[in-house]
Amino acid sequence: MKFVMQLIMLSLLATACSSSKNQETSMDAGAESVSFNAKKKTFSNGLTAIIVENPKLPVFSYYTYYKVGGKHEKDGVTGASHYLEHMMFKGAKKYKEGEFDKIVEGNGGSNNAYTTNDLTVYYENLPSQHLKKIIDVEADRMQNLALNTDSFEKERNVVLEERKMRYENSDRGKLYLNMMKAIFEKTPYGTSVIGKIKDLKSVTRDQMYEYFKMFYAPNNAVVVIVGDVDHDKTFDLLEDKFGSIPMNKKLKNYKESINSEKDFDFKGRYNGRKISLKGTSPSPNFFLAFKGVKIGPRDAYVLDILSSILGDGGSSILNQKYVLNKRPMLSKVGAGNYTLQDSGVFFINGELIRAANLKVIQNSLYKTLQKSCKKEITERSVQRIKNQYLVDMLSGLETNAGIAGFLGNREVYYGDYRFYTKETKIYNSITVDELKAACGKYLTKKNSIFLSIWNKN
Amino acid sequence: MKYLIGLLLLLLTNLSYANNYLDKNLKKFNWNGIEVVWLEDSSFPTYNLTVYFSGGAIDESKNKIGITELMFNEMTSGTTRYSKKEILDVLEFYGTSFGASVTHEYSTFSLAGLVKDLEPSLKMVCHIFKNATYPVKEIKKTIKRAETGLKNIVNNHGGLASRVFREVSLQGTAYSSPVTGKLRTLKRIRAKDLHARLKHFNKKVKKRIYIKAPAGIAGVEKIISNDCGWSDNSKLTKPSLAKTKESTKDKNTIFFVPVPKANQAQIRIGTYLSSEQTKRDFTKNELASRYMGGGFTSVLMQELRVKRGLTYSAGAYASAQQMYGRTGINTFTKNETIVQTLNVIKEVIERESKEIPKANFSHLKRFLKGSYLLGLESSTAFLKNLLFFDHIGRPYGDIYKFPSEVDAVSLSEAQNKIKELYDWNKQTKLVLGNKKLIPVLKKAGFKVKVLDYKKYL
Repeated sequence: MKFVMQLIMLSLLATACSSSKNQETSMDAGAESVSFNAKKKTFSNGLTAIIVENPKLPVFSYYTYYKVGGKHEKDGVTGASHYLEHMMFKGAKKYKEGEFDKIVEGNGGSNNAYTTNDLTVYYENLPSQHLKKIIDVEADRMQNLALNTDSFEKERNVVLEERKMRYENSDRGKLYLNMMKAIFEKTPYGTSVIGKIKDLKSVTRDQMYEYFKMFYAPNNAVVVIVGDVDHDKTFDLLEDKFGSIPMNKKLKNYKESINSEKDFDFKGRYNGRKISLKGTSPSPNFFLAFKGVKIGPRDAYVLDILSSILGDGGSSILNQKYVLNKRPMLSKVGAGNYTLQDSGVFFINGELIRAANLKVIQNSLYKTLQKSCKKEITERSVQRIKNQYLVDMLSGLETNAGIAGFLGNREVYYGDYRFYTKETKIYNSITVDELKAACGKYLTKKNSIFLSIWNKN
Repeated sequence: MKYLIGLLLLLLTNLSYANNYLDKNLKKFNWNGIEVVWLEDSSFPTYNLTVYFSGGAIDESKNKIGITELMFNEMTSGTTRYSKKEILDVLEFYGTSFGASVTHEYSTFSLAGLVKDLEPSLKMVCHIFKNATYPVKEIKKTIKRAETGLKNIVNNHGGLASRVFREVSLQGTAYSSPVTGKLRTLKRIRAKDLHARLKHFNKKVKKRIYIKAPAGIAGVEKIISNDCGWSDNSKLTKPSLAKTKESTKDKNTIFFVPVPKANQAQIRIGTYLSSEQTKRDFTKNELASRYMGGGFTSVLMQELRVKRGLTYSAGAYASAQQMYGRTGINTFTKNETIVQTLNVIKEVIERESKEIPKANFSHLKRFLKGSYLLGLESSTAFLKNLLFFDHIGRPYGDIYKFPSEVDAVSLSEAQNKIKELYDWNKQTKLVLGNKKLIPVLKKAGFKVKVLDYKKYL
């Protein structure tokens, strides 16, 4: 499916970007077990390509990252990045409508895409003999997307149905959309990736084409190919098909003109503000959201581990306190640290057992966070998370697609696909004291918003 | 990752090579009467161990539906030696993921993590199987949480539609009840019932163990043989089919499930398959269902989404266990197009069961063969395939026969299979959505039978 991947990205960012040191298996040993035969090249038009030779099977995965997402959309065209993602499968100049899927699936492959606040990502998995064809198809749609009027209108309905399915007919979806809107109020992350209904209904083909021409350029893309491929031959194929596509020289200035660093500063109303949404669930779901940190700074890694200590697994602090205790208030609880390229949100979400009171749980959570941070974050609980991160990382690397996503995310966010080695060192160096300090710094009432949804609101 | 090279070669070569390959990489042992299938894979220092139980939920009493899943899930609630907190603390510290999966015919309990932690994790799991106490307080809390979750399913329209559809479409068969249990049955399950169920699984139900790990991990056999409490006298049980008598279907009846405030309608269409149908035509069933709704180029996706913009997704399946199977079509659409969508599905079934275009047919075969290969890319997925083949009684070599079996299916056989599996007049049809759709469906000529979703929780 060509779908919005926001919720899934939460877990991806919280786990895939993780590696750690075990008491017995050192971080270096963990990292040593992960090695990639990779080469990177940046072409003269700005296209970055990473090729990983992995000849275990004669298949490959092809990922294309476009550095465009919800944060680049102006008012009136919200949802454009995601809508455009759908249209990228609707034909170009050389490969007409319907041909893309036929080429991929007709050769035994699969393909999909997702859009986030920062990125739009396309991927295909195919037998190796079709590499040349896929490079040709991808180059064609990067420069010559058709955007046929008829299919543009039909796809508008498809996107609206997707919006209904994910958000309008789901209490959790509604809650998530409103959490992002509230915590990132008046910032470029405050509008949803799926887009406002009125914008989705009114956006024109010409507006979409303009958006496409601005952002779909080689200097805004990273290609990652993993599988039974040859470094040099693949670079040559890419040069042959993408080399003549001109870079967009206006892109850098345009991006700077629409979003400055200051635009991402938190500007919302916090201090424990309550937002009550009308839903259909007979028992309430909630998000307690805190102002977070963008990808990159050390505190982002600290908050990753903190979220896992609080909410990952039955032995986590919040599960023990609210779900598995003698008199549970919640039927489930979790925590996440969603780090975006320019900002972030730390959240706790849960589902109340019917009789429990929302006000009570909100106040209780503030107290628990401060108290537990002082008393319950221990060397053992930190090591537990580091062990889990290592297992998660290794488990994610069983397939070419897993490797491509792993390296691609690091290339896009850090400018270095090898950044995972540094990440493991950072995670490993995080101390109990740092985690305790982060609790006091970030997880406070004044930095928070509490959102709830159920049929009694 | 030698096994993967072998795997592809096998798919491209022949069965005798396949058998050689399996001989080399797949080891079989007998540990205290328990058959062990060990797939040697040293690509990462990780393992996956799955215990297969030849029993599932099919023999649960009417008043205790859900007991098997509850029995597995609540084993971690406490033992003669450890509390729930201590059990979770040990397993999660190692980063070990664990959990059970229950179907009507068989169950599995899996654990995965770092090889160095396999022994202590497995020891704990075996201790749990042998000494679970099912503390009354813990069970009550779990059932309370399950109740909250079930009641909140009203805002997960897709999940609710599938839950009701299972019961309605399989009515009269032994497979209609949800393995997760129902509100009224979960309340009746007591600790002594869970003890008895666990004893049954430990002593009476046949087990087989599947391991994906590097070769030669010492200690595993000793733990399995000595610490799990599994009898070597357990017999391979076959699911009983005491009540397989399908309800009569009226071709014009639509089961309608009203839910509050829905602006989208969920559609479920499908029927029961006998064991003869599933065993005889495994490959043809797969081919027919994938043709109907197995990818972007499938006929339902093309007709509903691409050509008409009626939905975001449409899928079809023909799933099978050892003794039964199901066919199904899942999609959704906006309220205004519910009748049109039903009519298009009907037309597609009728048309494709008479004449599949030749080009589409060869495209389908390539897609099916290629995606089958990619689906086995991870060794964990490969091992799961072996487990399923053992369950349904197919030799492993059949995995490698699949491409040639696909090639052997003729056009007319595929058409007949679509007719057999998806004949509109033989399907149970269910719509979940806004009650305003009832008169719309009646006006379109359907007999509408309204179902209260609460009776299916």
